Amino acid sequence: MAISAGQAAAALEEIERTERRTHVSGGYRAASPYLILWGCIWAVGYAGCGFFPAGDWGWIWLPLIVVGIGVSVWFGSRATGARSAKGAANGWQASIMALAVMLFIGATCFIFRVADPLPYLVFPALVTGLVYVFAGLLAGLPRLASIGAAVFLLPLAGYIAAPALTAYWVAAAGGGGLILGGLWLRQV
Amino acid sequence: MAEPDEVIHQSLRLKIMAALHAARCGDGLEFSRLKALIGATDGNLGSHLTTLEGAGYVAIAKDFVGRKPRTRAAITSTGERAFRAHTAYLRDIIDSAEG
Repeated sequence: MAISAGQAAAALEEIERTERRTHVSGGYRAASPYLILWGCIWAVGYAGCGFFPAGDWGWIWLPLIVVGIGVSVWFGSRATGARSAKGAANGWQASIMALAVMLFIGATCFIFRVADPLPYLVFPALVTGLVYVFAGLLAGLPRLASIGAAVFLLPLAGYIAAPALTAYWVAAAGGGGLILGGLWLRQV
Repeated sequence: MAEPDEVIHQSLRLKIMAALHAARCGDGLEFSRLKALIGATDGNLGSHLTTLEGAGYVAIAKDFVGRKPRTRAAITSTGERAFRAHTAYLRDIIDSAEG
């Protein structure tokens, strides 16, 4: 079998394309359950913020965050074989990232001494959306970046259009966006 | 210069090997996912996987998730070596042509 230089180049390009597609698909599949999980937590937490006064919000979020971290770590530990170390690392990584984002949001609100509770509802969505946009762009996962953009823009639009309904809007648009985004990633 | 690997070089088998090589750190790829990744039909993919399995390049595992049957394919160490040798051969051709 004689292979010309042109055929060899075409074959190598095809290999590279297929390998890239496989890596991207693997990245999406790895991210998907975490997005669905944190989307559910987000939806429940913000819906709770709509029902209860601002003073109770901490008590709503604390158990949700503990559950989120626990389940994230469990997701990671479910990976088997050669993937187990990577899977466990993913679980811890997702939890640490979520904690870091929460600490950043808390510290920012503390520094700026925000008295109005509404920004507390929208600001986490903006930061989370931004994190997903960066993560998607850096990892070469454009769908993740699109989800981040949606999680950034939709809650902001709701905050501007109907401030009184911000908590419910962020629950539906942010939480729902993450859940739908997670399901969308599974299709790849 | 090394010889081409005629089993691997066929267009669809090349894609199968590339996908399985990229996923080699995991538990392989499920049949449906592999099919979507390389744009093959059921019959086509099945027949090429059989050829690659016969050459010892791919291992096929069948199990059940609940009641649903699942077929997974993974590259073997022989397959990995053959795939790397074939890509090296392809690069050699290009290097020789560029001279």
